[in-house]
Amino acid sequence: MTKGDVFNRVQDVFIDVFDREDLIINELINSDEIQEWDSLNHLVLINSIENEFDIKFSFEEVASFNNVGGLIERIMQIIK
Amino acid sequence: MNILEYPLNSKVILRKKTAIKKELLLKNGFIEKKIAILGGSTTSEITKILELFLLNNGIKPNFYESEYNRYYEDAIFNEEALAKFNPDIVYIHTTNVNIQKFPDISSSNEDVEILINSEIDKFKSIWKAISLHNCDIIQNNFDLPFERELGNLDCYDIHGKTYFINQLNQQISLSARHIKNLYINDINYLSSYIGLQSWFDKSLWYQAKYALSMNSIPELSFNIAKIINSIFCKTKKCLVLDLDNTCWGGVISDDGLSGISIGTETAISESYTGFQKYIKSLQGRGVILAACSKNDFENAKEGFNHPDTILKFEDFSSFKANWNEKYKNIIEIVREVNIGLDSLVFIDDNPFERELACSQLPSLSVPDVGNNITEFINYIDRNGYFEPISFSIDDENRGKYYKDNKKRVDVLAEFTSYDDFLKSLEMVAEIKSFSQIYLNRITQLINKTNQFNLTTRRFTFSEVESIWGDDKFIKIYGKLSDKYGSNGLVSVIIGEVKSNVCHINLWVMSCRVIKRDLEFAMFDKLVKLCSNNKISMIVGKYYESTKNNLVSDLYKKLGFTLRSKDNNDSIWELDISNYKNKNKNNIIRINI
Repeated sequence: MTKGDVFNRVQDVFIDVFDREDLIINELINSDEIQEWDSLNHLVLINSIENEFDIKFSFEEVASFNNVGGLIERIMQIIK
Repeated sequence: MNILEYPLNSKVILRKKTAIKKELLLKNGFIEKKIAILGGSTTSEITKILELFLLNNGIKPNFYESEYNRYYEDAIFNEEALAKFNPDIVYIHTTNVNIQKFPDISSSNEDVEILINSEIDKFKSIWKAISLHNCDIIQNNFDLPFERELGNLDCYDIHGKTYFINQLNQQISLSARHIKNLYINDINYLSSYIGLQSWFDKSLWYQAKYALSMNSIPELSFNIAKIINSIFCKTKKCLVLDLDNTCWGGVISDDGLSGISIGTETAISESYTGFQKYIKSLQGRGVILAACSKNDFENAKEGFNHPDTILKFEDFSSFKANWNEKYKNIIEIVREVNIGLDSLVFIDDNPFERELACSQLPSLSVPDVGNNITEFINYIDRNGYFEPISFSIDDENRGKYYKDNKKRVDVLAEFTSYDDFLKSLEMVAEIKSFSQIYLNRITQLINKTNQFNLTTRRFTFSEVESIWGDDKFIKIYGKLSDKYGSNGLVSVIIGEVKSNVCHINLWVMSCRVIKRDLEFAMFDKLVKLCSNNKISMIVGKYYESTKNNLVSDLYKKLGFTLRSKDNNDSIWELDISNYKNKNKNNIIRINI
């Protein structure tokens, strides 16, 4: 899977979880820039990403993801 | 909405919940209910997903959520906040992480007893405190522990956690049997259905104090919603079954009686027998059965003469086997058993028939059962269509009533006047003030009745119980029997007395006894009680709903005069001394 593929699938998860069809993410986007991205929704977002790629993050990782770039990088490492 | 039915796709529900909610809110006709959620662990996502399932069933919830792990404090010490919220239902989400103290390895038999009692007493005090709010309580029992320090011994040694939890669950079950407004959310079953490995997610517990995995939350919320549906009587009443390749394998008109698969000869025939057994036990506890098949009537009936059949022709309250479109037959069934279309579930192995029935009759439930007979039961069972919250003898008799009704209809044809027919039924009614043993049935009737219902007010068990004990209410029930059998408790009037005027807040009568003059007998009794209590005036209200047109002119028929009218809602009054229609009932004998 290329980084582009991963990016697109993550983009779709964001659109669904935050229910914003016009949401366009980039690697630098973080929880400050999406209003609905609070600590409770963060868990739902992470869960949906785990489900999407059939992976499981460790809980230190879950707490450390604060932008999309870091998230995608970690997904690439796990599914490699 | 399909996505909120068995088999649940939990991942999609979690991911798309906001969009799903928006779509559900496009519907209208919701009833609004207040639900307090007291959690022993994080409940935020449980609440959001529960909302979806409730909206899907026409219930719009308004939630109160306790702070994290404040369920005990909220119930016992925060009465005012709960009282202010005035919940219809309180859900207590506790799991094995909330057990205060497990036995340790040095505990004696007696110590273990003490620990069990202290856990249960804590819950008893919570239930008692919450009951003051006149609401129903849904309580989780306990899920099994994830780890077993004692291995298999854990389940039978008195020091085992598994043993301890099993004992607690048994105590909770006993309590729920005795406390009328307490219902168990059986997470002990649910977690084993899902599998403990998927049910609990340690990482999510450490991170966010969720006592179950994210992916299990939809199943949990679905289960709670089934109980809430049942409390508000939104469950189904009648199961409509196709015959060929549904009740038996094969096509009776092609294969003949000896060619169809039922019995224990082959795997296929055993699977149909399994299905029939499940249906038979539903019927045994009061679910009405109807058959709907494209078939020659005699051929179809013949299928139930098979020596190995579990279901019999007589088990069906309505039997439609002809060549008409099925949706037309289903409309006929609705008319015959006299219930709403939204109370029916239709099971058919043929996707074309399902699709057609579904598109013609949108309020009919048509689960997508596929064509694999071994899956059919799951669609009925897991969707909780017929979830009972309590089991009353009346439910058991209901199937019998519909069968008796067939006889009544047959006899009607022989009489020239309807009055003659009614007289021939030799009806006897028992009309009395509420008594405690009937409060369950009274609550059920109040919440289920749509047609003969003047105000469509709904009451929970606790509310009915407090009315029963309150002298300012005149509250009577009516039971009706006739020569074919008992119809059970079928009518209720609740009148509130304010300064010598009796206001009829609620008047319901089951549709099974409509046109039997029982309403006159009930009203005669009400007038009598009023005059005994020096009440001079009775005020009745009719609030129009989509289903109660039947009684729009009831008060007029009884001799009331119209006091005011607002759109289609009207208020009527009757001076008792002017009750000219006195003894309007002269057909039903009243048994005092």
